[in-house]
Amino acid sequence: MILHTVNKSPFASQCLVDCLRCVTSGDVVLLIEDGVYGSTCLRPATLTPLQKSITELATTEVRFCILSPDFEARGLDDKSLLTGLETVDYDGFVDLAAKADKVISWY
Amino acid sequence: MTSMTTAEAEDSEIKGSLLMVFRHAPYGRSLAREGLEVALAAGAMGVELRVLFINDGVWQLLAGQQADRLSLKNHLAMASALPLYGVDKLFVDTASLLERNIEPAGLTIPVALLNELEVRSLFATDGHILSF
Repeated sequence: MILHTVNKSPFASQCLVDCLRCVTSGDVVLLIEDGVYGSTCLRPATLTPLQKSITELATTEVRFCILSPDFEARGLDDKSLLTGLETVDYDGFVDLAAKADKVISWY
Repeated sequence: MTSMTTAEAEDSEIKGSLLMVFRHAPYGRSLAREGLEVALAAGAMGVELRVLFINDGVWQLLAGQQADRLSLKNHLAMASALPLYGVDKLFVDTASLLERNIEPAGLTIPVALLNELEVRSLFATDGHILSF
């Protein structure tokens, strides 16, 4: 399993798009810092193409996680989380890093 | 300092007006915080000032921020102080809100929503621009 961390807003950077092109079955994508903006949809009725591909990947083979302190600090909440995504705390981040064969940081 | 003619004084007044452009999300980098500090300081010193939240800068206005989760100061609480410092001309680019699926009704600070044309004219009007 490869752990992919993404720390840039998808609205200001290509990092998340670049990451999604390289994930494979069994990988985990962890959104941290401004990367957490990629996990939200404040109005679920209108998904962007990027949000659609995240929710589609999340229903299949790729696990998407969001670092909860970064998520909550920015005024985002679980209600605006895209379906299929889960939150992890700092301990969860450590567990993911420990379990991963490799870690790649998209920044 | 040499004395100015009335025309020069009027000209400098126009050029003295300042547009601050907030383009970055809070917390990830210190840009948003630093921009806010400049705006508050400028406001306190009586600078004629307008603030535009655009692109990822609109995230700064999202309600419910819990900055204590990162041991940081609450950005929205600081931004709420802008009118107290005389900075009450706050503008938001509507397209940036829509792009991020943020409901304008959810913004807790009184701001004016601008369309594309109004944003352009904002950039054209002020004598100075600071971008954060």
